[in-house]
Amino acid sequence: MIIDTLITNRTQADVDYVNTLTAKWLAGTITNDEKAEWLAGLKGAYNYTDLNRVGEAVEYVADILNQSGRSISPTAKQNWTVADIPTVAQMSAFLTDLTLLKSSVSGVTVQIPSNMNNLDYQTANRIEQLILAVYNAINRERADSEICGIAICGAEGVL
Amino acid sequence: MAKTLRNHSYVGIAFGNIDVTAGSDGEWVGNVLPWSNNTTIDFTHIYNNTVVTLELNRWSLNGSQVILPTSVNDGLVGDAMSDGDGDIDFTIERDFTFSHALPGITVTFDELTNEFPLSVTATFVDESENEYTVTVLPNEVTEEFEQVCETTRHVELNITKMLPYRRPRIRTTLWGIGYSYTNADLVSVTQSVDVDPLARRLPQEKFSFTILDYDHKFDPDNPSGVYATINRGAPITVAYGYELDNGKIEWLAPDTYSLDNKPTFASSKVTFNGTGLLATMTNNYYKGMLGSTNFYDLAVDILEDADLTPSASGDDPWDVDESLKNMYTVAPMPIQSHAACLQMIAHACNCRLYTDDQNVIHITPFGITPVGVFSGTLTDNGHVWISSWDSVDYGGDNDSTYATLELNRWVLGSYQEIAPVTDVSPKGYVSSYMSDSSGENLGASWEKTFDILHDIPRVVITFDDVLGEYPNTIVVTYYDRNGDVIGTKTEHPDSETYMVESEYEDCARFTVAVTDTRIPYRRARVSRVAYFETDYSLTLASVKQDTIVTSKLDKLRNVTVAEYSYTPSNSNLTKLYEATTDETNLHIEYQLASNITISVSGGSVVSSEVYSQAADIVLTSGTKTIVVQGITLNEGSVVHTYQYGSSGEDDIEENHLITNKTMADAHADHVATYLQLRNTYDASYRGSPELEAGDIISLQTLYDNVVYGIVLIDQLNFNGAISGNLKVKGLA
Repeated sequence: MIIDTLITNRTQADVDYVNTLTAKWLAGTITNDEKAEWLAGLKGAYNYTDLNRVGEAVEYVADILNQSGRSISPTAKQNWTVADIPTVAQMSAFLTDLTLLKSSVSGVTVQIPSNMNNLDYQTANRIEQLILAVYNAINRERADSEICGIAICGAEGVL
Repeated sequence: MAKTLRNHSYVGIAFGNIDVTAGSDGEWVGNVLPWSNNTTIDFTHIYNNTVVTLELNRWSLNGSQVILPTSVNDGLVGDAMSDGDGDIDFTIERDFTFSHALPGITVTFDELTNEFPLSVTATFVDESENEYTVTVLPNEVTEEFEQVCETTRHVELNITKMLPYRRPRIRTTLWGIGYSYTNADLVSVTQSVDVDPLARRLPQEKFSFTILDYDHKFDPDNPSGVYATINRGAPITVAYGYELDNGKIEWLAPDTYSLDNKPTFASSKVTFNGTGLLATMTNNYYKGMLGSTNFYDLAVDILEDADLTPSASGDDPWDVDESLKNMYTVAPMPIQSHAACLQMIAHACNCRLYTDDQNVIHITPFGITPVGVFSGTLTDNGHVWISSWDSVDYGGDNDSTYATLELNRWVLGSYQEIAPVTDVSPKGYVSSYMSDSSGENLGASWEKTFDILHDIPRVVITFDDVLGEYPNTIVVTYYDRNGDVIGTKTEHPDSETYMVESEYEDCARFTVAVTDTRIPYRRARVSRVAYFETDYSLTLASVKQDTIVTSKLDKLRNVTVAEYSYTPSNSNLTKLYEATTDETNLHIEYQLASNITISVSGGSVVSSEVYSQAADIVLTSGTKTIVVQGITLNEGSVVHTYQYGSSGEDDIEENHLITNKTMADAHADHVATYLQLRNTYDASYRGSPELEAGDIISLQTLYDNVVYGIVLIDQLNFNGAISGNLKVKGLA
């Protein structure tokens, strides 16, 4: 499930590791295993795979929200490639989707960045934490409604 | 206490054997991305950010990349990407309009991500179509492609191997090869700066170093040497370092010079001579026009005409003070070198002309007073009748204080006088407010309002220096021109003379609130306020024994300043120039005139730029006769005499740009202020690279612990250790 692939635990060490491995490649000292690791995309860098994963997860959570009576239509691009160069407009759409998710449930306090400039690992983590938080919130909401039943809960107040 | 022995000192010199004209000759051509900037890579440019792309693992999560569209300059970015094996075939090329003698090329790749290609070939093509290629497998972000080509007309860079999924990026191409030298290479280094505070002559900013050259690389007779490729104007940077007590070397910010001429080679030693940027501006400026113009516009026009290389940050390499926008002349600038033009402007406008350590030219107001350029007014929120700000700029009569009855202040045996009812001597500021029995709640404040905006790196406040008392807490607040607070500093002085340092720029005034004195029942006192751009103090311990020479100018009697005017010699057109020529591009110079007309027989004028003493004319082809006519102008002058004493020397100031009485008055006042500073100190000392000519420093003499002075000449020598010579004008 796409939710299970979200990355929320990037660290400075991951960022440093990008520099280390890249420097090793440039110096010709990189091993074949490290090359394969580098070519798979490193956690301390933001790659097209990250944008696609987030886009896919947003759509997945939006579907669940829509099944719960919301109406959310993510618009962000999901077919990023290594040759793409993101623009402010595209990244605004990317962040707008996150804002839509966040505003569709209550109790999610994870901050959404105002833009994607100067992205650091903490912000990259928060983006995916937000999706996870919304996913968990809607699941709790659905579980609650299954346990007590909306009609009964609603009736309790007037009984 | 200052150490009598200094730790080991170091010198590092970077000499760029670079053709500085190549950067502005042509441009790089290649298949690049739309936001690629191919022009800034031709000079040293500071890149701060890079644009986000999705090249594998390039968008590092270190907070340094920005999304398009952005104003960020990313240098040259190729529109090609290496494949999964890193293979790529990307070429940029460049044609020169004239030949360049190059020792090679130095290329800086993607320095912000510290990435570089893995295989690059540089090809140089000379005038005879001979090709010289050099292939480098880079192992760092800046690589040199060393290949002498004395008549280079075409250059190509071909990148064939990179990291997988990478676009080529180039930040800088320097047209030459850099060399660096340290203590072990250097035979000697001499650096000398001589700036006339009155700008009556051009500053002398000279640098020279000699190295051992056993390989004869710089020997003009060596056919495989690089002598032929060394270009006048090539950049030289020098940095001085001190070994700290922990063994590390602390390097000072480097100074930048331009190579003055080809080096001289003798006995396996080669000597390079450099100058400040001003000294390289030897081409003539001939575009002077009769009519009112402000000095700022005039200076900028001259600087732009000089076609200087931008600074490392991409900015114009000059800083002309805005106050020159309010000073005017009607005189046409005489035809002379660009540097001489700037010197005339600085002299007329009472400014200092110099280049800083980054080789940026400055025309800056220069206040030749004990407060330097920091003139203005001092006021307070309440003071007693014995208080006076009049002496505070000068230090006043610091030998004694007026007796007051603040608890335990009238110390028996101390230098205290009973204040007279009238005609009190200025002994500094004394507040009317007094601290309470806890030494708190003083409530005194004073402020300095500057005549013009200033950066205020250091303000030195002397409090009660007779009693040696000082407040416990002062709050210094800095304001901008609109009265808004720029910043505040709360300080706790630890001696009667205390330095407040700040990084605030463009301050209009600052206030000092004295909140508590720690000692009960005390008024706030200030005996001196001084302003420094450096905290340097030349003590007797740092001066070579018996080398201080004090000289004293004669008294000043008169200053005369000529005020110039320009009037038509007659109302008829005079023939200024006549010639028959086959040329199509003609530059002609003639005597000063107005109402200039150009007539051509046998051809016609395609375009023309006409100035008061010169014209640039484009003509049709063929043989033609050109005649230039105009109304010639006479230059006249009225000499104003300003008397400053009944006997002594007379000073004569003649500057053809001074064309109104207001500027003549101001100039006389400025000159007289300087010439009435009569003491000059020369000394050999241990040498301080952080000092610059024009700095106001404190110095210790045989008779005074603290004398303030302006550094006029600063010379440094290095032959294994640093030493120096200073000439300082006392500000007493």
